[in-house]
Amino acid sequence: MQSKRKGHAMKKIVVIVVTLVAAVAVRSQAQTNAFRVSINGTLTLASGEKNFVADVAPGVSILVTNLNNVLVAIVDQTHRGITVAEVNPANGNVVRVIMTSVRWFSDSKGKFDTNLEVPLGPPAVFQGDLSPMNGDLEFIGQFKSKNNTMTSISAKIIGVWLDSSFPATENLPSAQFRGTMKSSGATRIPDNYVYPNLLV
Amino acid sequence: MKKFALIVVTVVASVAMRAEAQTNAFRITIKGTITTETGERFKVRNSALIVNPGDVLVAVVDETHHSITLCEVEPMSNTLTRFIANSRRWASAVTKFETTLGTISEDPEFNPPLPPFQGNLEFDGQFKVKHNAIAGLSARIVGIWFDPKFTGFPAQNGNLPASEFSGTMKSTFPTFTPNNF
Repeated sequence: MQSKRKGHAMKKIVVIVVTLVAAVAVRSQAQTNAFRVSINGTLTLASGEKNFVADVAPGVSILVTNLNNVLVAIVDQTHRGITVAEVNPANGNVVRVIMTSVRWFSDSKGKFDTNLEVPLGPPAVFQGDLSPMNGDLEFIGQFKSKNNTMTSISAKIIGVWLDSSFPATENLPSAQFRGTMKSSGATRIPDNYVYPNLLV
Repeated sequence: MKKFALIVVTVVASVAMRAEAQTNAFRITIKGTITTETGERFKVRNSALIVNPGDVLVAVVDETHHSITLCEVEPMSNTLTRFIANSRRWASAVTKFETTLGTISEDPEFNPPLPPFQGNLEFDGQFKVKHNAIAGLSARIVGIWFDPKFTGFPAQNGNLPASEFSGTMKSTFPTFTPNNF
């Protein structure tokens, strides 16, 4: 009789825990959106020479290491940040985080302003002779929403693409970037997405 | 005698290092607007950024360390009173520069009602060069003035709304690098 009661209590606890976990998961999921994006613009090197950052084919960014992968911006309102990542669309996983927010501002009209940086460690490298990135880029942008759901994101980007005073880039020319980011449609949140906390 | 020699060597070395540092300092004016996430706006002028009456705002351009430091300086003694912000990233191309400035250690507070500075500001700027030397600088500034989620921020300010800044910086004239920079 006692073990039956114990079993009942145990079941109850399990149900409560599962419900709580599910609620938390739904809550954090609900405040995260992902969009396929393209980033285009101009790099100005220390010499004044200009290089271009543009899609190599429609929907294929020069910033991905594998041309089958896509560039995704994950808008994480729970953690107040944007992460730009290379994602494998076949399995829905983040292949690498290129940059993520270290500071964040947004208002009720969908305007946002955020600084994105490359995660600590070596700079992000790209295809061809595109300058690697270890800088800090300012995204000044706008979210659009419909029926309380975020439907798109766009931003002007300005900032330091490469700071050659950082380790491993001493022999490269520093580079400034000016450009835009535009979304081309919502996509699913990558399965292995974890907010990369870069607060520094 | 040894002591004397040591002092001379130390002084010469520090002078040499200072000369090598290639720093230029300029009195500056900063103008702009802080907008909070709730829509409140604050005008920013030098007078609001300086906490000790009589002090001035100075930008120290350190070409050796690729950085700009904004600080409050007591002009009579040319002593740095406090740091306000310093470059976290830097890129320059001929006379144009791009740099992200953040706080150095403690988050500077300003005269009310300005929120404290705990953000990253992007300076998109230009040096004025005369006879191969930097004679002045100007920049458009955009970025985040205050982000309440920053973990290092004092708890008492954690409830302040996030805010962004848009404005300009202009040098008025060159000055000496602060003695204690």
